[in-house]
Amino acid sequence: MTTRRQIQWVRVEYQPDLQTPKVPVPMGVIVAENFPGSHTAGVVIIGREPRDPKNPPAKLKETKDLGFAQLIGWVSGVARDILAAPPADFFSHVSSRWRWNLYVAETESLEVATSTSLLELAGRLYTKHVGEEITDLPIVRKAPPRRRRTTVWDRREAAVPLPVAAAPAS
Amino acid sequence: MPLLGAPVDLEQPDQPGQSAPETTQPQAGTSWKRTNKWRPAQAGTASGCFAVESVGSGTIGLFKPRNVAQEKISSDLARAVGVKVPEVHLGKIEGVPGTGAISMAHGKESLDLQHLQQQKPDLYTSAKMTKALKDASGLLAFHAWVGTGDLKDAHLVVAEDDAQNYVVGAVDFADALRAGGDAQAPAGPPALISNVDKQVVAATVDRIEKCSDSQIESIVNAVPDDVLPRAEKDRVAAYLKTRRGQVRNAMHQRGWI
Repeated sequence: MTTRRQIQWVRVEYQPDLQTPKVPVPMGVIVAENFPGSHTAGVVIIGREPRDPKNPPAKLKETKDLGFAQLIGWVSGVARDILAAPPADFFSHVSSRWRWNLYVAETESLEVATSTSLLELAGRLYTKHVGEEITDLPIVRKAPPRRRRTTVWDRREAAVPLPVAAAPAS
Repeated sequence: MPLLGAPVDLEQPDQPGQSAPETTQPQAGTSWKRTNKWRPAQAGTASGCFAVESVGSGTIGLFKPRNVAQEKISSDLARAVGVKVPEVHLGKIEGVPGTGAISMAHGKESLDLQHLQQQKPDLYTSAKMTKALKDASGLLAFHAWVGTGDLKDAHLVVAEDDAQNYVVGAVDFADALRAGGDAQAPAGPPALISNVDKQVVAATVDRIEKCSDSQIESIVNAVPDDVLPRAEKDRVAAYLKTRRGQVRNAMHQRGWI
């Protein structure tokens, strides 16, 4: 019996200056897997967005309108693009759209225990990539919910179920 | 003028040159490497593109291993006739055979217009953006001249200049300089066709017509022979010289001048 399964995920980052680049700002993750036997893929996006352009996070102090146009609403924007993409290759579709200051990086693979939920895994990868611990996703809640809201970031999540083509009969 | 690290001046319109741009020839010793400062996955897909940075200045760009001559010549011609196309340098990357075209960013913050329209429709329809599109109308004449084929809003990029005006430029000339026949008015990008400024188009047509044979030859011949063989250079130069005189009629037919 298989006790491990394969997950694909990507990091989402923001480069504040495409001419004189700075250290990229980690923004979130997109995590996906095919659910065996269900012809369905699940995608979870967890990301952070600046709450108020007038009071931006320190790393985005010099960001202007065209930067905020990419930053604000990116989680729902990526979810929308995933829904519009060919299900078999949505990462390529999303990365062809998100390729400027805010970009989707190369796809990475990960083998995880079957007992780990996609949402839980996405939360862990988000914490690893962004450096913010998540305590308020329902699936990973180990203590009474405690919002770790700062005044400058909003965290957003989206889950996207996708139909995928049935495997050809052998 | 340094070849690398020189930001695109978005405030000043490009001055139509009487000679090939200074930046045509890569500076000796300039080297590039893959970068972790900007790593969009799209760059690593079928196009074979990937992000690079200059070893000296850290400036980043997109390395394109295919259609190198088309990208380089189109960028240099654009500067010669005063339309916005991000600067392209030629360079080699360790582990990658051949010379590539390294396309520099259009601005500090930049994105394509299709993406902007979806993410921020109110900004896309703002008066500031409409003015930028009208100011970029000359790209229609330029596309007619060089025969750009893949014309869509995703191949228009916008950035803000120092005076906080938006400036629209064109990217992706992979299939330019190929199509036979007379110069035709382009069928896109839609955002430009919806915002034609006839005066801007007419001024650009004037500059294209004034682009001399020697300017064209200088730009085309600056591309190394291993990127564009001699016979192809002759074909491209002849192509540009012939079509230079056809752009005005193509613009007239669409009522753009």
